[in-house]
Amino acid sequence: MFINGMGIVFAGGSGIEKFEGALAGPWVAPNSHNEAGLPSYQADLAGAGRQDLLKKIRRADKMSKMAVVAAADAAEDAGLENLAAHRVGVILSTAHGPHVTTFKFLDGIYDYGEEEVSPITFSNSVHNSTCSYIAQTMDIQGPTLTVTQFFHSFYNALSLASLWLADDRVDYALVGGVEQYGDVLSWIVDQKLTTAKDGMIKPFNLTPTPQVPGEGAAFFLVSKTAMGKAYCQVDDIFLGWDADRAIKADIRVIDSDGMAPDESAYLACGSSGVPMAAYSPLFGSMMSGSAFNMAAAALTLKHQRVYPNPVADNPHNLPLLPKDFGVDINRMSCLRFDCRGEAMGAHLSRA
Amino acid sequence: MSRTKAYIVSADIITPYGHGVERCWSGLLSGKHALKKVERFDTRPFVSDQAGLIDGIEYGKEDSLVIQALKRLFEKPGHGIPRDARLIVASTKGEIDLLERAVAQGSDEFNQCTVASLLPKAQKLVGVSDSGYVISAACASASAALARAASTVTSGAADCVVVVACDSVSEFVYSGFSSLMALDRTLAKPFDKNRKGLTLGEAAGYALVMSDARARKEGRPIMGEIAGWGLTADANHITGPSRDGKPLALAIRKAMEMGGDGTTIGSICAHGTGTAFNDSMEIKAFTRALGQRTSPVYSLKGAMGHSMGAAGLVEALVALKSLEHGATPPNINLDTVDDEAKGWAFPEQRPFGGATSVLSTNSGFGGVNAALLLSQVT
Repeated sequence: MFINGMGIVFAGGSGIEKFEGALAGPWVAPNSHNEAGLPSYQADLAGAGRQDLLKKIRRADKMSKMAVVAAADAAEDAGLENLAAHRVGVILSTAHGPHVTTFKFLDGIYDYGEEEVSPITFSNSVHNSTCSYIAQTMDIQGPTLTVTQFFHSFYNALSLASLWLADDRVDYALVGGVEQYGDVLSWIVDQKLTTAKDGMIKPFNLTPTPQVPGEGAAFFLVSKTAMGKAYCQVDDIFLGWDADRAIKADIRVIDSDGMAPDESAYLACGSSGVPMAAYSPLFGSMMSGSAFNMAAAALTLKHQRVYPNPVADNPHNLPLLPKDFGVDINRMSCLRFDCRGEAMGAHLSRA
Repeated sequence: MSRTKAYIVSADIITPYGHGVERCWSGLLSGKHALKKVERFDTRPFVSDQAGLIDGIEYGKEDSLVIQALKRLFEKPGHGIPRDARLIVASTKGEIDLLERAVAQGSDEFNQCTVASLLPKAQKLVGVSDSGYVISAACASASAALARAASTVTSGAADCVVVVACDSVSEFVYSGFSSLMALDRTLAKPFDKNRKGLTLGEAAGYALVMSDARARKEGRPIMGEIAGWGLTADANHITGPSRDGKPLALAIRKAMEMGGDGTTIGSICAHGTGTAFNDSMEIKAFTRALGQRTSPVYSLKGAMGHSMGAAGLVEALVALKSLEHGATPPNINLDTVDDEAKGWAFPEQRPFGGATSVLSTNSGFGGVNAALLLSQVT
């Protein structure tokens, strides 16, 4: 399976160039603080292209808008036009889904009474509405599914995309992760986890990693064969990880972002000596943040360019990716541990 | 080497008719619906006060409505689900009643009542080691999850998957469907000329999907095979289905293709919500996919209401039951068959002899379609 196109919406803007610019640049502080002073990375769609698409779905919630823009960008990036003429599937992964809209509808019931609630808000609160907006705006009539799980939703979605391609159900799949920021979520994670009060996620602290909620969408256009601009190949999607049996990679990208109370499972990754990278400080803590880290790995493989760790605090002396990594990068490993220490991830190689 | 097959080897459901597939089947054959007045919240603001409710599950308990229902399925010994089974949960709003309560009371337990938080609870109840994931495809969630389970087994990724499906009648969903003007003021009448909308319902259940090799090795009784599946999107509108039925027809064709040449369809367990647009779209889709080869079509939603993310699982199991008996259940509340549905839908039970397969289809919110081809195993 090849990654042929990518689309990203995040706090730094919209589009692969913006994301690559953020990877190459210095760490940037969170762009928002709520009334309680809690920091967050929030996406701003005002500056996004795709205003034509956004106009079509003006009644959609922000989660759907971010995903539609990222999915459309991924298809365009791959050079795939007129999606109705192709067999395309959509798989969206999320941990919290349209929780902001769900709260909005509930608030509507309590604030205005059942007679006055908005049918549009209810429609948007349905868990697969984002997928449906993607299908609707891009005229996709293939299978569409939403995979929900706290930690591994993206890799499960990627695994399903691989299966659809292998089964010849689709020729292309748009697979991605999306999360929306909400004040309730920010408050909850502040209660349950360790918040980076200075706004800086330190992904190698691990015991614990301080978190800053993020939001955004990252989509990939994947197919069985490489298209003209393929970023990389997805060699396999694995469940479970063992330092001794792990496939040798040139760089390992870890998803540590503070969304689990204890991320010490990543410490085992250091024993292999494989240089480690983590990019959550650029887009924030998101349970489906794996999609963003995998996008960084895909860019690394395609451009043979090392993106240094945006925050390189290293209290455990892990083998961090050096800025002057001077060898060919042929193989990368992306990895997420859940709160029970179970891993899921993907191995990528040059296209 | 022959292709690995995906068999349903055990299943159980709780519906408004009670506990068990047999009870549901006999309830349907009685011709009496299981809908009643909703008492668990104030229905005066809504256009309807009817729903299909599971007896004995209540608002205000420590457990959510769906967990109360699931506990009845899994807390009795002997369900026989192996610990190594993969877990897929299908639900649209999960424990939304807990979220209603958390918001009303200003509680901080939001993270205990999201769709994803249903997973560890289901995992514990079912007793599997896999932490699983939730498939959301609105009201096609359970059939999409069964399709995912079947593809997991036939691809060799796993030889055993348990699909758990559940949704409940909450103030949240009742408000939502009422605001969409989608509820019938009286009772849902799928495929009726005078249908005016749906009646909500609730259900919970599971199906254990196993490879043919493992099922035989373990001596499992085989209820049927998930012989084909198709998923498509309407790409039409967030609340309105396709007007021509092409995408659902495509899903049906895909499912039938997988069944191979010579597949004969005995009957179709349709989504049949009772809304004007859904039922019309479905008949168009059946006509497109099957042409003149009409098979009797029935809906369970006039009998039990629309159990949303759980509907596809209940309907697949009833479809297998109909295959076993060679007859459909009646279309409860169907009085005057809509002109479009003539020759397809009938008020009474319809026999269908000689068929080895049946279809079960769902079409959910946002235009997601799922078709399952279910076959007898000889």
